[in-house]
Amino acid sequence: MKLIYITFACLIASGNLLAQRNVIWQHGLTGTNEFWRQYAADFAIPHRNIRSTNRTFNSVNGVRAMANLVAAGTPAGANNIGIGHSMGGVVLREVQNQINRNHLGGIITVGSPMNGARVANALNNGEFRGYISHGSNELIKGPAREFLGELYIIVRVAARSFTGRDLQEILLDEAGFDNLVMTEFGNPSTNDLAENSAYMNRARNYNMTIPRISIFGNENSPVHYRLASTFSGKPDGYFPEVIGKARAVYNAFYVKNVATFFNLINIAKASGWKAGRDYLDHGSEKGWNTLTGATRTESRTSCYSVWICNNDYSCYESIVTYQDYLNCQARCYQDQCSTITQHYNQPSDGLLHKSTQLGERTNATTSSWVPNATFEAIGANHSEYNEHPGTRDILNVIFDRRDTRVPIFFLTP
Amino acid sequence: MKPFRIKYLHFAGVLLLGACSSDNDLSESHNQLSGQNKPIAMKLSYELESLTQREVLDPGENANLAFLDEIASEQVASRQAVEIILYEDGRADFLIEKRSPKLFSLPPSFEGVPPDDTAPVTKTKITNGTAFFYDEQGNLIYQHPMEEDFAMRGLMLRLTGQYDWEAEAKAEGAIVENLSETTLLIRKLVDEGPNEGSALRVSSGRYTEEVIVPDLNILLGSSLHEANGDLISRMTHKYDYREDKDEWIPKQMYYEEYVTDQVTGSRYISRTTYHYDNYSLKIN
Repeated sequence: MKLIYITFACLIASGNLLAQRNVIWQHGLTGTNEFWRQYAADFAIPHRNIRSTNRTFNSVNGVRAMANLVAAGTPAGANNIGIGHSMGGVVLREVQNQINRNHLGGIITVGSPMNGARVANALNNGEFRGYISHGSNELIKGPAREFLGELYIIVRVAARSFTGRDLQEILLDEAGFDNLVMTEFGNPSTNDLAENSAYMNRARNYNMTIPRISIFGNENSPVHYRLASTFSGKPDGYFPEVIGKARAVYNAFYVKNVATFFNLINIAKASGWKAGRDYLDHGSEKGWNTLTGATRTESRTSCYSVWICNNDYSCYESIVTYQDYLNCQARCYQDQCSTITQHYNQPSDGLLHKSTQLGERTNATTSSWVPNATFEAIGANHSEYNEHPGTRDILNVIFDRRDTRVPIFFLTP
Repeated sequence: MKPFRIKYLHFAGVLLLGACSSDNDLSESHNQLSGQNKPIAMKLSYELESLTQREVLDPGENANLAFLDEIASEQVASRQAVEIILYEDGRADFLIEKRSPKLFSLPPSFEGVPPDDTAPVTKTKITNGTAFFYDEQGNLIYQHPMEEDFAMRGLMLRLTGQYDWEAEAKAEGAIVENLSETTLLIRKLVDEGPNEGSALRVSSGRYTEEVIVPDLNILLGSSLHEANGDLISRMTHKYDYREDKDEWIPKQMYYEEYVTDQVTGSRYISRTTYHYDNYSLKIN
């Protein structure tokens, strides 16, 4: 009985809660209303008393231009809930703060770059292309050395899989990174969405007063291959599996070559294959996450036992005992330490790091977004929020207000 | 004074092959697949742990790509158990199993990121021109062609003490120098091209230098040079000596190479140290 009274009191406190809610489902950059189509239909059910508005707007002419279209093309009202994916969340913030302060009563962002998208900077300043080319070079070392001669390998790879430039083609074409570059970036909206752009420096400090919630995606490793899979219409484990097989082939060539032990040429081949394997294991994801801002770095001292005798083997010439041999070894190896920058992968949805999805204040970034509640969609990447069960679960929690952090405004019985 | 001498075989004890365990699995699968019983010359097994680190010697001009060099400069460790069956004709089968590094503890790569839930390849079998990849449960998840070659023949001859370093080098047109009474330097041009025996193979002028102690049947180190003498890569070897058996056992191999990154423009040295554990050689 007590619960009923509390619930009733909440209903009174929430004002006109039983009135029908407009939920404006807003797609992101280069998206369409297809993105939210299923959710817009599924949540517009009688017991929630929700009416969904889900329309397509031109998104490539900048945040403000899209916001004008959204403001003009959707109903305004203090009972409206805006749900924006990616740039859609930024656009809803723009609508509310700069166009009509009565357009929405609350905003839910889903994987939105509230403080900017670091990857947009990387695309504009050449880091992205450098990353792709660097990866290609790491991957071709093994095949090129195995068959001795880069021209030769280009002919040869046609008959082989997962070698060198083959893999680059997989990443660029099948995975859709090139499409990502061509369709999602290279327009005024990209410039607005870049971290520290003139637009973002202004917009992230908008003073927001309406209730707001941010949902962030935290995709499983390897985030970039999962994002690429979803982006190209495949299950998110597709490319991780492909890359896992490629990695196994690289490792097999590496071990096979290093087994020859005495043969320097084969050890050089092994080193080439190992560079590709290590890139797939470590460098590839850390590099991608650096582009998206999803890494933390710290300096650490790294020591290595280094051969310092160059081609001077003179001390070996007078070995009488094994101890002489060991003494000679000791003379020729020396620990050398240096300071390196260590990268640690951080949570992201594959395209946006967690901090920007939440609009967090950091030492480097001011932000006034400050959501009332945040939710983590574990295992969701930027291209799959509309299909990921985690997103649906979280929206149900919000609309049912099963979490006390959720402002009562979002309760839709 | 000459170094202490070893008669002919210096790496491991000579054992009969009769009662081998998992090794048989590898040779049987080869013979089943190839439909032939090839005579086994020896079986070699060890655990191999490697540590790799790059050091940038000269940063490139492309400063905004420095992060790629930074990431590539982080240490990488890996460990694998390796079993090799060498056949008398020089071909070889491999069984490779993933292990966790024991010697090196490196910082974790992830903080708060859900782990990869894809089933990793934990076991690889290379036999009869194909590599087979298995998951932890032993399910075959992939196979890939891998041409059979005779690359292990040289190792086999050296391990059995049948390799005459000086005679072989001279037969290949190499220059042999005596560094001392016991130590030889062998300088040999490198042919490059598709396959041994192909008319497309040419000499680039690159050459290798090997420093060996023939009496001990050990290679101390070797290096690869451009035609003008510039160093491309170098490796050196460390051995354990088992006095009771008069054996030299591979303990460690150090490899370094100088590379210019065509993207970042940096010049770096890449170093890898290979550590051998549980080294065992069984000769038929």
